[in-house]
Amino acid sequence: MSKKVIVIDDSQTVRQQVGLALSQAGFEVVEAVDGKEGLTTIQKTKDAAMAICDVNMPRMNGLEMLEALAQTGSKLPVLMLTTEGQPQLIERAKKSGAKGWIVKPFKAELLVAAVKKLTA
Amino acid sequence: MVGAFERPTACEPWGTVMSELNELLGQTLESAAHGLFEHLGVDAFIGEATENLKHDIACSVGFASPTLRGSLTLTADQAFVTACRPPEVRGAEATAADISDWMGELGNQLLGRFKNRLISYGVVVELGTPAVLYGFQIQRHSGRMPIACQRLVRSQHGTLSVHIDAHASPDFQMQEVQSEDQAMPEGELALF
Repeated sequence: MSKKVIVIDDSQTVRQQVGLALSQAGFEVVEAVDGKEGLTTIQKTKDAAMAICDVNMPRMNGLEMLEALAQTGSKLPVLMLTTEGQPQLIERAKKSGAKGWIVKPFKAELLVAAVKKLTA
Repeated sequence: MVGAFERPTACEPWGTVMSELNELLGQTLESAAHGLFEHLGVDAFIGEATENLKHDIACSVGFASPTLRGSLTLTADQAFVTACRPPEVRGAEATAADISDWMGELGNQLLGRFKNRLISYGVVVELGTPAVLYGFQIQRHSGRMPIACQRLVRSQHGTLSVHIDAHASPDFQMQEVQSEDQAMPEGELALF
């Protein structure tokens, strides 16, 4: 059975790009369009193996989502995938329990390798 | 690094200071655009914008810090935007929604690179989320912001204009920072 990965990004193109890379590597992908929907999707998808999350999104950003998720006691690994490379933001994500950070744009093989490692 | 901008001395004419800052931010913008289009595999020529072209799609994203605030505006031919979509999705036919979405993401990724380069100078801005507009004969006219730099990206599929309009406070400075305070480079992965 394939492992389920939740992809949270407000860009449909990025969700498609990540989804294609992961489905070709044998993962199942569930999408959410912002942090608020991402939080709900994570709570509903009990069998998710991990989540990939953007930072700058409307309604609720990725760091706010990560902090809200940590308060629920969730242990789901979250990989941040964002245009941001600011050290303070990376540190904030790390403190909130993120397991990794990729600065966009990304190479599909790098993303897949990270997802395999975090879902092993 | 493309230079540095230090607080002006009392005897320096403000026009000269703003011209230096415009030049430095323009070079920073050009470097960000080069990096992005090279990654996307777009064979593009990037240079100073000498013409005010008419385009059919536009995107704007705001940014702010205590000493620098403004916006990035892109105007482009839809054919250009379609042709530079990520290689993974480029084969599929692009709908208006796909083009609009990618235009917003281009603005986001370009401003992200611009921000990451500014961090090298100790300037940290926060980014907004992109707004995209469709239209006919869209032209960007310079506003009331004292900082205005622009570049033009040309490819075989058309053109894209990139503009930064900003306002800097009198204590704004751009100086190189220590390596540990630099932004994480684009395309890199860190696992914790």
